[in-house]
Amino acid sequence: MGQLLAAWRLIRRDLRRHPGETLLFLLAVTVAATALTLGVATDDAVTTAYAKTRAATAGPDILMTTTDPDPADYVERLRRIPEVRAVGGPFFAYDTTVGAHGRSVHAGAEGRDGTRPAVDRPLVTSGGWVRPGGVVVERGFARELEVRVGDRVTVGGREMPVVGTAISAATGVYPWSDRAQGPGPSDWGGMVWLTDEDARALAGDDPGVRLIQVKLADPDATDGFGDRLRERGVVPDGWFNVLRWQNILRTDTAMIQGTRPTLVVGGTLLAVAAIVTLTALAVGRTARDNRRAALLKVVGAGPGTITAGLLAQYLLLTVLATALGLTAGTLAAPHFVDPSDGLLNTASAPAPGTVLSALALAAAVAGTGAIGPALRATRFSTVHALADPAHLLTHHPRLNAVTAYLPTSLLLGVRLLARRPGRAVLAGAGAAATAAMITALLAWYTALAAAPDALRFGPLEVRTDRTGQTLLAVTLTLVALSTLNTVLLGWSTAVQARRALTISRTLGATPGQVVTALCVAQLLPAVPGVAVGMPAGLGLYWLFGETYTPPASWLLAAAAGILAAVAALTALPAWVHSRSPAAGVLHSES
Amino acid sequence: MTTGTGPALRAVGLTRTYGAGESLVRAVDHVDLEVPAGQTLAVTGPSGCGKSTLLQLLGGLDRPTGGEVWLGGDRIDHLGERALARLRRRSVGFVFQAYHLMHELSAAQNIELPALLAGASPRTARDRAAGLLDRVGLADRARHLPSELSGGQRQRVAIARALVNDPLVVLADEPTGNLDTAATHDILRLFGELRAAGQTLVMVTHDERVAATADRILSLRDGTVADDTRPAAGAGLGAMLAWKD
Repeated sequence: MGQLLAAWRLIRRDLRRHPGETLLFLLAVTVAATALTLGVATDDAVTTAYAKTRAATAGPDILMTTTDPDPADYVERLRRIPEVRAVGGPFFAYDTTVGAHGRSVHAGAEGRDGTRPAVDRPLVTSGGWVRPGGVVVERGFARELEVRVGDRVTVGGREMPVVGTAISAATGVYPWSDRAQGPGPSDWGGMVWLTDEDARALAGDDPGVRLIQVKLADPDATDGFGDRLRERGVVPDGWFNVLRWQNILRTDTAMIQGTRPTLVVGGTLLAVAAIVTLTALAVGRTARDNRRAALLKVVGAGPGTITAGLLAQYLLLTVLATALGLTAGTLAAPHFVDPSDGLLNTASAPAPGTVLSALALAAAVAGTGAIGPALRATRFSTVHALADPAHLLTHHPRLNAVTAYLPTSLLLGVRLLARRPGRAVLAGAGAAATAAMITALLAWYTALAAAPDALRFGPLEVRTDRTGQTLLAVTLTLVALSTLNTVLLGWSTAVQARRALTISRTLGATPGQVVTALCVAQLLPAVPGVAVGMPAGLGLYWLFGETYTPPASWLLAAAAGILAAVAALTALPAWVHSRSPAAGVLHSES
Repeated sequence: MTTGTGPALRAVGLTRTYGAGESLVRAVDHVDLEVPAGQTLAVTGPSGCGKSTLLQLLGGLDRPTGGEVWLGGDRIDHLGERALARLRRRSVGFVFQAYHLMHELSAAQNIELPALLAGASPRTARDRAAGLLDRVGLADRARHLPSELSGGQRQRVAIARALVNDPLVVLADEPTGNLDTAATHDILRLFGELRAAGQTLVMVTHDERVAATADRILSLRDGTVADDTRPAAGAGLGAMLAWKD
């Protein structure tokens, strides 16, 4: 009990004493956990959403479309097949245009009556079901048209009130939901439901098509079902389109074909940036943790107590941040990975695998943070830890000899870099992740500029916009985290090199040269980082997208911008530290 | 732990070296020492003579290269970290020149910490800390952080912390090194009270006047014992009080 109280006091006081550091730690782990959750969510989000929608709407396993004006005989024959459990329809449907807010969009209009069919019962999500003179708009299509219940739309030129919105698993999400198209090339479009009478009246001379939905005893036995029907003579030789539910799922999944790689790759890059943040924080904490371990040893704490205390503190923060990340990722997932409003969203509790992955991440972060100081507390002398907060200085006689010929700023900067190679790796990794993501974004804009109008405008614009928004959101998050990392690394470099740089000042180095030296120490590893990150970003984009390369001028401007940002963000903490009077610094460090 | 009987502290052929070959440094070189229970021993000598190293070896903060260390009849030089931690918790109290208090804990919480680590209940630890704060004259500073205390006050907190588990021996490394005359006087008065109460105390100091307050003075030079004397009558606590001004 007493030891628990002691540990809790130390944890609480440390957190309160360093709130900024605590917040940064929480932020980094939260971002990493969110990225992980989103990355995992992309794996089965569409499948889950489609499965939910199928279950909620008695979605068909097979959707059959025929131009035969009276397929009642086929339906009867279908019902008698042993592997068929239920049949819905036939429903009349025809191809038309739906207009709202000055826009006119291709759509299928399906006629329904008030009865509940055995298969495909669209789920009304707002308003009510069809009634004479009223139209129900598929929810994803309604969002695209920006219409709600009570608004008025035109169907084939005739104005009608929107009496409801609904979703159905018998069609792909907008813009792949026009299932009333007959033979010939198909077009993108939406879906609306009318009363059967209204649909036939609006169709006029258009013969339209008939939709028949089939539920099988074994929903997975859809493969070759259409061929078997033809072989058995259940359906005629004329135009008879057979669509399996797996085809619809594949179509829905295509809606996020751009966002999925963005989230997976962007999530990985975000995780890299978060690791840079955590490592930079851990580096800053090392001296303090070592000293604290030594102080605890002096008053009788053993290695186990010290390790448990450190681990408890890191675990407390990582578990909290992981919970935040899981929640944020779970809430954000539907916005990023749901193909459209046409499906029930996936905002549900994270899967056990996701939780386990996030907990493994938390344990890894906590263990990594605690293990270093704990091991040092066990292995190294308490006396030394008390006397000096464990600054492992490295001596590079050859480097010193070579850099002696360099200008002062470069000399100091290179030597600073050589003393802290780990931090150089962090700065390089952070710059590489940022450069990769920015390059991918530039490649996407380049591809967009070269894309055919069909992808940029019209129905498919939905998918293009979604990909662009996701890419931009991930890039901005990454840039924000990288900015934080650069300031953090610059600050810790300035703090840890304060004594050495102050001695340099007493020997004649100007504050300007000291600031430049710190910038050099950050810029030198950032240059190879950018040099590696840009081709990596391009390669990743090519891997998941198309082989478009942004103009050289864009890439050069991006590289220059990243490096200028690194220099500017480092200069600020460096300038703050170089303003302290040398005597004061030397006195406080002695 | 090997158990036996004898003085509060005993060192036999105690040696601590650093480096190897030509760069070998003998910080402590075959020191033999016995400190009877209740004695105040001052270890003096020039800078770098091995005073602090000797103290750290006696308290189990550092491991000797050779020789033996016995604390209250138990041999401790071969103990592992876990056993040494238990030993420091129960039998040794440290006082440092730089205080080494936990910055984030209040004065009372710093004093309670070793008691809590030793398994005392929170109430017991709190009671003991309150008693010790009263004893060192800081009852009204219990909730203050170390940064809100003067150097002398911090050192008094450190002494109270060293005493909270009623240790066999208190080891003080330059306890007045960072203090002004008035604060030094307060600390020495406190040590005088400890001695009167029968507390075994070993303090390292380079200040001859502080050393003169002890029962016995051990002078080190180049890691070896150069002299082992007892101050003349009238020294000890009396000397400290006379030194007041």
